[in-house]
Amino acid sequence: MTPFRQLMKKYIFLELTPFEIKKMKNMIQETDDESIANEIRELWNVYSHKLPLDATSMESIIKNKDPYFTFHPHENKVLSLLKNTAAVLFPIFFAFSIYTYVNMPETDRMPKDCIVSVEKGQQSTLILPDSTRVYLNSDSQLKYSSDFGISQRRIELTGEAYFEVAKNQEMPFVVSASNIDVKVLGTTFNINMSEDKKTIETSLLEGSVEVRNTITDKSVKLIPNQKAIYNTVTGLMTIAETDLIAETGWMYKELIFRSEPLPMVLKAIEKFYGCRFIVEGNYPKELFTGRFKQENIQDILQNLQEHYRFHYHKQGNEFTITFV
Amino acid sequence: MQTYLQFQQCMNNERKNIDLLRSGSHTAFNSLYESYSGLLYGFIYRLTRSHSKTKDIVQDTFLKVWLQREQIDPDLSFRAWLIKIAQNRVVDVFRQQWKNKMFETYLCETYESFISPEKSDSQIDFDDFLAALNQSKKKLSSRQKEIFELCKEQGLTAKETAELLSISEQAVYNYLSQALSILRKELSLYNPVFLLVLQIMF
Repeated sequence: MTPFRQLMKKYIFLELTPFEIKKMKNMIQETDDESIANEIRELWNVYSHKLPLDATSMESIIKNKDPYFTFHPHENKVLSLLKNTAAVLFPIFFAFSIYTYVNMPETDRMPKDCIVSVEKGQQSTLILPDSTRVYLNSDSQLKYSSDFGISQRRIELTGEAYFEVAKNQEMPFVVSASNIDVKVLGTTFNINMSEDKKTIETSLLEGSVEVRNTITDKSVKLIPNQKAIYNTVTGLMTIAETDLIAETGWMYKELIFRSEPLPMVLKAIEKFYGCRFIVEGNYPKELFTGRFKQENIQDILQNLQEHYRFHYHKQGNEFTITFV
Repeated sequence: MQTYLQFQQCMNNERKNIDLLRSGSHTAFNSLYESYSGLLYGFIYRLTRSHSKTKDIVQDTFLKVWLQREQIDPDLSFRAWLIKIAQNRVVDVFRQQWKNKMFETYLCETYESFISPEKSDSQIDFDDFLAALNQSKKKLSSRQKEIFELCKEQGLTAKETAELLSISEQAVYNYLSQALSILRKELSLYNPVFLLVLQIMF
């Protein structure tokens, strides 16, 4: 056993002496990430069965530390996990997402265009006529014509969106973003156009997609866990491997509430933003459903004021909330 | 033989679950989660010593399991796959924790508490330790706090601190020992274990 592995082993069994702690600290600085990852895999293979946390103590630790994000070992895991972290399967409409349906000037024969746009700081979920699910990130816009799903499946995107495309072998689903077309049959992927519109990233989670440059007519095929990065200035397209966490992170790095009692909501906000609420008066009984991106606390409180009657007073990081 | 058969059965079950998971079965996901989440949590906690960070990593890992379910190689063990998904974030957090100057202090504490075996299960994690320390620091005068932070949190020597603040080295020692005796008293209110630590560390 190498000296480093020996120290790592002692570390996970809480056996490092103060002297060894210093030694280990120095060794970590000299060891690269890959080697540490190797050690971790080794330790996992050999010792992980000795360190499990049983469901009850895991639950109690998590409950004590974090009133909102809890695992429920006896509940449906998929539900509780995804409810808490990802809006992948159970999206919640954010009550204040702003939908603007704009009708383009009508001509007799042309199908109408539908536009769905989401303002800054908001997110939205929609189901297209072909039952494809789209999660639109903030400051994004989606445009499709009214014959979508009847004679074609084509949409235009500005900004960022995550797609779970309904399978339909006969009618390919095409997303146009600037001058690239992403063509799919049925799959899950994320498209992100950078703020300055210089790059467009298409990241694939499942299935396969074809990303085509509409100017040069060149295209690339992606396999899952790859992304195509298209530079709109140079016209170059590169493919990179990705673990998808960064690309899909926007979908779940946020506070999500689903019929939660208000005290729980406030606690979760306290935890998330590191502030403190002092509550006066009685909590209203109504449950709260909604979700918050990383907005500031005042915005959230104003948001909550649309649901509940209260005044609040800010003093440093402390908010006194008085229910009326 | 009995155990070997049980082992075989377990492996077959797992294999079946992985095939089901690949085709999108929630029940299979549940069952894999049931078998591995505690294992993963316990292991990662010992590496990161933070419950909140461990929880995040475990959640993210299983989220990735779900999102990447179709890429699971059914011939490899699920165990090996799981740690591969988690490892990068574990390494990041592991490094980050060790970079914190107070982490050493904290580790000495867990070492000491481990000696008394009944405490090993109800360990205070690093986040709690820092929170308790921060609370206790409020009881210090601004000078005591400044000197404690320079010496203990930023790792300056007494001499460097003295030069930085243009005071004598002896004055640094004096302030530090005042600060430590106050912290010791305050921290012991949070958890008797800390009393022990600070005596050993400082």
